[in-house]
Amino acid sequence: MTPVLTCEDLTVTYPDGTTPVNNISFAVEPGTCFALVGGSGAGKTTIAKALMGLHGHGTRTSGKLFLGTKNMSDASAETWRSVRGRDLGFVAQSPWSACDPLRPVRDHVAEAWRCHGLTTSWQEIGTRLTNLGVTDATMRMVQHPHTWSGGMLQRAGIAAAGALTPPLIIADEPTSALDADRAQSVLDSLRALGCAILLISHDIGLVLKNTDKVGVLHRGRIVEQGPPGTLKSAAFHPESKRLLAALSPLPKRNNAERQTPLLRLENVSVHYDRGQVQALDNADLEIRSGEIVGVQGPSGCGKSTLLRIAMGIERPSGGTLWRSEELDRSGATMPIFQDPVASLVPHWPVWRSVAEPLSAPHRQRLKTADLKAKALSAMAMVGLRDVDPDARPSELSVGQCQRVSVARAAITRPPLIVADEPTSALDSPSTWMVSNLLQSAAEAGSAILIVSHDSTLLERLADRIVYMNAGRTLLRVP
Amino acid sequence: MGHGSEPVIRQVKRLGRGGFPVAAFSRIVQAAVTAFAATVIVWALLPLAPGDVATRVLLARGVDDPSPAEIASTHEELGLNNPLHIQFLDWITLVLQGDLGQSFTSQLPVTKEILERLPATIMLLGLALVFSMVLSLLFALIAAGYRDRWPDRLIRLYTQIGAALPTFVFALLALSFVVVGFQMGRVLSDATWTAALIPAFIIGLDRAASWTQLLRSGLLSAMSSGYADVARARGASERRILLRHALPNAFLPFLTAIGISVGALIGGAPLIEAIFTWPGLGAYLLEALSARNYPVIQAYVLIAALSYVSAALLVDLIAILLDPRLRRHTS
Amino acid sequence: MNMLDMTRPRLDMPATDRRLFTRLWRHRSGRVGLLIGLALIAFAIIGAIWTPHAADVPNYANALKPPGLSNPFGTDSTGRDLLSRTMDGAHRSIGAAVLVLCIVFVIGLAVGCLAGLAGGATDAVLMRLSDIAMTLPGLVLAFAVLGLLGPGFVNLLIALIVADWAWYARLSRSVALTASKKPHVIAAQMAGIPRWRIISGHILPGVALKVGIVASLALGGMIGAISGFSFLGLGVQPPSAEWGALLAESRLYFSLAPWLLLAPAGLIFLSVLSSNLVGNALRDVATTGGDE
Repeated sequence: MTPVLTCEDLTVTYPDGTTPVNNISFAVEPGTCFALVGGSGAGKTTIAKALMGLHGHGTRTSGKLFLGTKNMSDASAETWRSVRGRDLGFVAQSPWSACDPLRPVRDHVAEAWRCHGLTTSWQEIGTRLTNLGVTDATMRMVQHPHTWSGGMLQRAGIAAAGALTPPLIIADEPTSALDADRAQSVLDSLRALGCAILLISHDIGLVLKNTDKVGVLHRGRIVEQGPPGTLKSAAFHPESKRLLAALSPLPKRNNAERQTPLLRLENVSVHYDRGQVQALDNADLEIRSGEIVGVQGPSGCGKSTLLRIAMGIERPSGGTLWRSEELDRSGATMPIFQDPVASLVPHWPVWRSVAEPLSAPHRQRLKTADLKAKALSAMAMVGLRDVDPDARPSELSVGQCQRVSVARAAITRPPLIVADEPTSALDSPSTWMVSNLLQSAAEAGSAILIVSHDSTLLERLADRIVYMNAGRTLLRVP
Repeated sequence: MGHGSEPVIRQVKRLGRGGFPVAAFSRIVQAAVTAFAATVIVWALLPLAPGDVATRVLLARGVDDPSPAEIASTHEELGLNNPLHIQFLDWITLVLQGDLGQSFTSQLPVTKEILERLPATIMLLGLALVFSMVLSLLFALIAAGYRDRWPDRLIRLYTQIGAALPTFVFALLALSFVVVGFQMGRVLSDATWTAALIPAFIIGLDRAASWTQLLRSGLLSAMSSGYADVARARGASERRILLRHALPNAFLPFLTAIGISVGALIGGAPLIEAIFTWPGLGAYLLEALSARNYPVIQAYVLIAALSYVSAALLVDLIAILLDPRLRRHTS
Repeated sequence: MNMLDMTRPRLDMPATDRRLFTRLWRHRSGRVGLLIGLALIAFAIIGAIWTPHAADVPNYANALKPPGLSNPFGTDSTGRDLLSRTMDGAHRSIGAAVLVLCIVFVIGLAVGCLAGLAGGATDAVLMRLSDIAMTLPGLVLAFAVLGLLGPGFVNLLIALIVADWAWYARLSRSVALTASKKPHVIAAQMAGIPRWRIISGHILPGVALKVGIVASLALGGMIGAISGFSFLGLGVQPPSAEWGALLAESRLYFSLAPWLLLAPAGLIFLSVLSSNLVGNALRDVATTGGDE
């Protein structure tokens, strides 16, 4: 059978002469799922745009591109427009930004027909949404996108992508805005459409589980391609190995005694708005020194409230909270946040952010030169020896910023480090890197409380995982 | 893997099913509070004014050298010996009945004089507002549709120049060199619609420059948003994306900016009317300013504040009508 | 194994270009704006010290001369050299606008940061005060204040400050409030850094930059407002020169000497243009700094 997409020596050249995509060749067979996987900056989104003829003005493409038997290599803008939606579906990364916020969800789906001058009935749209697993579709679809949940709205996006039953759908990171368990069910809905899928993703775990063939993308080139099984067992290119390393288990920590309790919550509850909103409901949690405790649960389950209580910036409305004396000292708990760039002072050189905890008044006074020396060695510890210490956070990559944050959190060797979704803004190699660093911080004696929706990360990193739902904690020891 | 546990509706709707009426009511209450605060400031102008009010009133009545007894009795008559809050209540009662006091200079009721001049100002500013909205809408759509091509460049040049010329300078130059120079109209204007056309167009053309800039950049950022990309990937034409998606989304911030600009337009009225020798409220205020005619100044500020508040309220209501997301943020 | 992730800088900028001015200079229209602005500032400074002819002394024999060698902009109805008048007026037009903006910037920053960071009753009182000042459109409030104080240059500047401060206070408060909730501030708090050091090191510089950009964008409007009020005779009083006041004088003799309008109008245009260009460029180069 003819592949639904054939791409030979595809090269994309930007107006400034740089080539983010170089001589890429691959084919997608009908009904199969092909994945392009790579870290940030590998050229994934540029390829997706080029394959849809949506590379902007001034950007040139060369090489051969076939959609089925149609030669699209030198297609006119008008040909491209008639092909998009009919022969080529598209699912975007964030379901909310994919929808016009002023129009109800059903209009978003109907747009797939209307763009091509076709009509459809609301009933038809309702049926399609129901088939993809949207409950109460006919009632919900008159509501606006901001009232929908991410997983459901992404299903509406899939319904729109498959509206005119194109033989191929391009999905650019379709699940990265969703929780891990929802990501899988959304991917299942996508595959249920039955057409071929070109999945573009940074998440090698997700890709290996769900695709028939994988191409590893590195600096605009496909450095290796093959079935997931082969790639997993016999990857040869360093980039593939780097991506796969993110799946490998972390080195075991030596299990020293972790008996001294640091923090204990018993039957803690928190309400807001005079008891209207129950954020925590009889939650229990214990952290002992040197221990890594993971917290997982759906959004809105009270994870962040639990975290703020552990950080000491929020008080429980009921129950008992016990903190060890060690933890009550100033600077004893250090945080790591979700947004790496905003975690650093934007107008300071990064070394100053790293050194700041050492300059707190309760610590021994150090000269600026000594502070800088200590900051530099802390940055070297997190693998940032080659980064200019005088750079501003905006000059670093997101992954580097998060490593700077880890260096700052660990520089005083605090008894407790609290991490709130520390890897959700990072690609998988950076995620792996940061989890390594968190582990060495634990080796050095800090207890770590980490909240994340990434179950693979927690299972590899944490000594214990606490699952939360509706403000309650359900404990499980792995 | 099942997905039955995931809720379709993400939001806890705290407002219940109220939606638009509830949000609209809260905006109206806010506007009423603002309007009340404005009336307090307006009233406070009189007690704050330097000099004795009673003396000014007597002078205005033609008593050239009032005796202390006359001043004292006028104090009594005007209620100036009452506590401030009583004075305010008396004042606002009169204002609510449509009595804005007596002009110090002409001794006629201010309300009557205002009502003679208000239509001229409304005519000029209203027409200017319509012109500038139409022009900026047109220019911004053309510029966004032909991005980086010559129509866009030309419009950008116009917006740069327009934004760098204060309205009164542009009006002065246009009036002097174009209208008078080519004898296109009369310089001395009466308050008729035909006489208002040219001045309103000149004001509108200048105002439209900054509004075009605003709407153009709103349209362009909407054209590069996620939903525009998705619409493109579905096969939508650029024109469809511009008109169906970008325009409605960029229109709301544009409308808000216009609502705020109404304040600047009213505040600029004296200047504009001075240039076009337009017999409106602004010209009336200028006479009052040089004569320290406080009741007239008060009346002008009151009218300006009330029209500003109503314009802002109108824009707010349109915004929450068009954008359901705004119905949540009512506090 | 390579432990470094993608070392891809998000800004194409060598490490030496962290100074705002250098980046402004590299911005194409920013540089044009700066050059025009510097020329105008030089014009104003020279004009305050020296003018080719006496700016205020009438010379009726020389009235309404067209532009020529000795009077490049022509002479006005009383024979005064228009170049000297515009040079003399420059510091009143530009300098006053800069002065008013600096004052409202400082008041706004102080009040806004105090309200936003102190919270509680201080915040409530300061913000109600600014609410009251903001119920009237700025220009209307300025007219009201001028009505109370009477016309005059100093009174005009006071009126403009009264009309504008609340707006800057509001802005500073909301920027400071957002900044005080940033992760880097929470991290510093948890590390035990004292409050005053967090405010001076983490919060204030960012707030000052953001509000400063807004103030620089408002400079053009302020120049327009000052010349507008002076045009109406409510600001600078004769015989002192100011560009708006010069326009009002020139207007009376338009049919005899139309060129008299050109110099003051052109100078107002250039100064507003320059501040718009610099303000926009400043916003461009400062917001690519990553802090949002």
